[in-house]
Amino acid sequence: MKHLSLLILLLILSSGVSYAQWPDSLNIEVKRDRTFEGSALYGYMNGGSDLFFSYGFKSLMVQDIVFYGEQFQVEIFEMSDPLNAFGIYSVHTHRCLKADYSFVDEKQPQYFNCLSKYQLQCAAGSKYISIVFNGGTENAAIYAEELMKYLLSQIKLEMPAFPPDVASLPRPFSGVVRFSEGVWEY
Amino acid sequence: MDRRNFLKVVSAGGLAVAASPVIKAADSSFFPDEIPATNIDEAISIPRTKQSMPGKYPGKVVSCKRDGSVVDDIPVESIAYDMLAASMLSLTGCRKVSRAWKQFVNNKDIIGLKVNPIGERLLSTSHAVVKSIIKQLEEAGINRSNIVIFDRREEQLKEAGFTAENYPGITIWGTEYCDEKGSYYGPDGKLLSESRIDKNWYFYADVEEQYDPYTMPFMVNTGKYSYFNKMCTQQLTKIINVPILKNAGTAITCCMKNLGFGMITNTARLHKQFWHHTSAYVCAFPPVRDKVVLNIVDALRGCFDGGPGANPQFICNYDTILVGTDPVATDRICHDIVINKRIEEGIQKEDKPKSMTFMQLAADLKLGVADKSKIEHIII
Repeated sequence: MKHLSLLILLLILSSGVSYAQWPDSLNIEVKRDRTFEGSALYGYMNGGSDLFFSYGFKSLMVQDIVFYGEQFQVEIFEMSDPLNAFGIYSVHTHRCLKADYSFVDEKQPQYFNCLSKYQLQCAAGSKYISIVFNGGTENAAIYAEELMKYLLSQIKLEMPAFPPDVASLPRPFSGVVRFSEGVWEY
Repeated sequence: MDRRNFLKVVSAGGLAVAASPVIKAADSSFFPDEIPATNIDEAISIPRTKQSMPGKYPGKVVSCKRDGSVVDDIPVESIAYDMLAASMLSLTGCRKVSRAWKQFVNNKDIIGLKVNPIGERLLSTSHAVVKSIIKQLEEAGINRSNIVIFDRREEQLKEAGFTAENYPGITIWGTEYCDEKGSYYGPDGKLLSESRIDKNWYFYADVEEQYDPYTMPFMVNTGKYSYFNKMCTQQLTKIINVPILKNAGTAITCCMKNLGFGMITNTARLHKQFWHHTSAYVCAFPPVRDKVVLNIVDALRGCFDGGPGANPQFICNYDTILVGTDPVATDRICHDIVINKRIEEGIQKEDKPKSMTFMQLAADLKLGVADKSKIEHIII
């Protein structure tokens, strides 16, 4: 596994990806981390992978972390482009408690998000991000937002190239607009 | 990889700026027009035994639903135990639970519990159900040393809590495994998992896919052959299938899928090319067909969308345990549970009969009953 991690690290380095890190101020304890590139996603979710491949999956990084004493699983899926990232996100969101709300003081956020009892999800640029919190408490949700806020600050935000009739729909999109099997549903 | 490396990808937004066309979901490959050649004829040419699928009770399924079987999203073991006991009595007609179990196993058997840990802590076969099965097996005179909990991936078993600490005296076994340092490869450069596959038993299909080095530990081999694991071919005498209830698109992943994709290597090529055929065909090979004596579906918790992955938004409490020797009939009943939930939640508007293709294929192979009108479904 060590060899694999090194290979993956080399690939990431050779792709010219810039570096970021959890800031020390967040005091995050990483319990477990894994990376899955391309078809290695089968090693993470078996048959569930095919859906991700159909949306142009490129890579996944998963971390189990402890933050303010709560456990979180953070998944960052790199998809081929923002539209595919929104697509895979859209089929994973359902009956959001809060949808497309702003983490920072913005009138028109350049990302989509969906908060549910145990999960905060986001589509931002070419990434689909899921933060699962086992606690399900209000505090856990607030901490998840803090984590997401940091992740969003590290991402180049880019809106998906929505077709005009979709782009003109009122917000929120999350939990309402689905892009499934090449078909828009709303 | 440390937390710094983890976040490299977060800041990689500039990599994917090209507006590539959206790739359509894989519905067409889910139901391919041309079926690749396979060795299914070899499997069905091997004579059946007395305990071959669909087992002692073809076309009979018992489902037991209890409110309160899941509290705060955690299945309750004492209630699961009672539900399982009641289901076993109903299935067999026995008056004593231990007698019911003895219809399927005896104290000389090496019994494998084929669980599904892929959802790890989020949605895997529950400990409430697995511990109830073990307890009732022990009460029927089975030694813990004769029980094995197994699946393809040892790491996922561990993450799901199937550990020696939680299950003392019981063997925990995965086809795909790594050493204490986390390496999937031995000093000779070979995958450790190769020692756990049986090349005498294979499912051949004329489709193949090359895997990169990251994928190989999870596939074990490339090419057109998928090998059965040695646990099912050489060590176990009986298998109890303990899947959880999930959707897979508009189909379900339950009894047959848990066996079909859980017993063999090199599965990615099969997911893509012919999921339905693999789910049915692999069950027709003697190490599965002649050893699986019981299917116990853990539907206390399950999902109605996002499966077979585990996404919290789609996880729900079905509050149900289903028991049957016939995996096809059991899957047919489970199909309705999931599809009805999907319709209720607005995920789909109506059932899609094509999504039951694997059940019909299995019925054609005489592995069970797919026609709902011919299934005796007992609700307790």
